[in-house]
Amino acid sequence: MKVRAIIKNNITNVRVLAEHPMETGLEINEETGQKNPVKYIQKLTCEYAEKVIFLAHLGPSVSENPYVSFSFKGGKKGDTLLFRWNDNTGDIEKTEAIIN
Amino acid sequence: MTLSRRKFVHLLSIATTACTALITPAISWAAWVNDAFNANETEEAYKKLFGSTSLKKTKKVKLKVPKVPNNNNAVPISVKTDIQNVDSISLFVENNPQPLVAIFEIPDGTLPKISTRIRIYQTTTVTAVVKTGEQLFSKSQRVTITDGQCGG
Repeated sequence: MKVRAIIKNNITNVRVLAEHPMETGLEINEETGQKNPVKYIQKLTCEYAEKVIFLAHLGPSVSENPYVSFSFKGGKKGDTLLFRWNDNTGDIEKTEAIIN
Repeated sequence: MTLSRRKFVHLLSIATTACTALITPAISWAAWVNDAFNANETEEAYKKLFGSTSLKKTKKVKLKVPKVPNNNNAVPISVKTDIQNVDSISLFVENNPQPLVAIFEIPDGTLPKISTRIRIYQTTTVTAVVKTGEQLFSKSQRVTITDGQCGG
């Protein structure tokens, strides 16, 4: 996951780019002629100061390599944000990001 | 003050009940979410997710999505509102195989303002729904998908 978190006027703007194929289960693989199995991020969360400050539930209609942005009040420069996604196959990725 | 054993056990049972009551909504929410994502029609998705289909159209919900996207596999979409105490923002694409695209939960302190990129398979109506308490506010827009474009 690539994250950019920038604070301005006491509001932290967060942009997240997750690397994930977001397979819909409808695409046909050109080599095998079979449909690629469905695989998509179901949940993406951001925690700050031990609190969940953002939670996205995604479906397979979200684009490949999902991009999400949000903003919250009261962040502090140098503090850490914790990100985590999990997909429908049980894969998980976690990332930390510092507020700039 | 010292607590008798009986009193302690009683307090413990109250605490347990309170905790269970707090945890339960989160668990049932997760089940609704799956059902809602699996719905094949928008109305059904509304019912599964919100328990209601009565949406109030309002200009207070700002929906930004291109009328004719360049790439239907990555259509930029953003939603914001000045409505107070927003619980969640959800996106629906009527003519996609599964109309519910995403739900963004907005806890206190997080602004009701999100953006993402989505797939739109054919010409359709795109709707953003803002939930606050029991009220549902919405804004819709038509998005036209043209043939022969270069999809990614």
